[in-house]
Amino acid sequence: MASDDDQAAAAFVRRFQAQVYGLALAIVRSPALAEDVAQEAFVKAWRYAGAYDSRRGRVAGWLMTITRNLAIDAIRSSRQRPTETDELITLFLARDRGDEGEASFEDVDRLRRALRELPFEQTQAVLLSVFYGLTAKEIGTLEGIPVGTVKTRVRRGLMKLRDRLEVSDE
Amino acid sequence: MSDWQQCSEVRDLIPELAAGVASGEERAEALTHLAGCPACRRELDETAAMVDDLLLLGPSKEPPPGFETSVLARLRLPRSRARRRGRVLQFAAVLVVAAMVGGGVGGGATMWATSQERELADAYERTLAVANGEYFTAREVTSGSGREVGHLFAYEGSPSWIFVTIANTPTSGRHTMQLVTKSGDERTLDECFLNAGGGSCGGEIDVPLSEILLIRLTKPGEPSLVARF
Repeated sequence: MASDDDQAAAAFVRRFQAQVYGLALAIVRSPALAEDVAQEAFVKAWRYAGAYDSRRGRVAGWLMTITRNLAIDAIRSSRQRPTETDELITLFLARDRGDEGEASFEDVDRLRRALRELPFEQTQAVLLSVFYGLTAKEIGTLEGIPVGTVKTRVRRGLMKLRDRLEVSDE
Repeated sequence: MSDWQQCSEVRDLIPELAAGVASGEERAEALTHLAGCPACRRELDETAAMVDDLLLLGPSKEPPPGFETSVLARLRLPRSRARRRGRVLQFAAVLVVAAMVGGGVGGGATMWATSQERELADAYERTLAVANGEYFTAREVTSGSGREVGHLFAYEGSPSWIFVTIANTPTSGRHTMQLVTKSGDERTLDECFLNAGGGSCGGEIDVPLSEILLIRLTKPGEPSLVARF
């Protein structure tokens, strides 16, 4: 890697390391495993930076998607499953220090507020799907509810979030 | 099935597609519909954007000391040799894995495939939206007896390509992948080695998908495996 690349890579890692590690830790719950996941996420993102398309969205969102995917694989291979879903929700709804990449803090805080306003069961279903990569069937098994109910909760939850954010934009 | 029914089924699946948790089989079916339905595609784009934004809600936490140094050391390792064919078909390879999961592979391979599957959800959206793609389709591959043995994915864009994955192979060994056009032209695209667990192969194509009659995998003395358009 040339020196310019070195500097760019260092800046990239510094810029996002807290977000990447924080997300990995929130999903895998083990500091050692989270560090492995976070390292791998940076390596993968840097190596496949050419696949990133700026028209698609923010770099932070792309990097977080890579991180989440790796974290999900890590917990799946260790057969770990989220069991304390209340704790999970609290973790993601807690106000953070506001470092959200290129997204403004207001954007993310607005989304967090919208998520808080959803019925608990919809928030739970959305977060288990988006962050833990659980299918409707897996969430149904975990929560002891029918698959159709889970699908409805996730879909309604996401629709409400979109509606609320669109209303806020007007 | 009517368009309305297809839209209804795909929209039911959109949250799982956007979150990257739909199965390879579900995704392959949805892709075919999405390629020709702007309304469902828009719904998926908006939902996927929402999922991306939700991921930014993850809590931030500084990693342990030495993290940055370790990452940078790994980034300095030589990259694997990039081959044009590999780069061109990077997206296609993800589809292959998705279909392998749909066809059922087990153990560690499934774990590996799962990550690729989720990347598919991400990649297909990008491909349909911005990668000069005009058309994407999936077809069944059947054996001589008509049994489904795998899937074919075809993409018309820059470049166009096809990728075949075989999960339940009735034959093994080296096969030749041939494209036959509606006007009767035949050309060889790739060699495909199938074993008991299946296999995959693919390549760039220089004809519009609308001109393809079939793709077949042939081996002397064995019935061909065929995907019809």
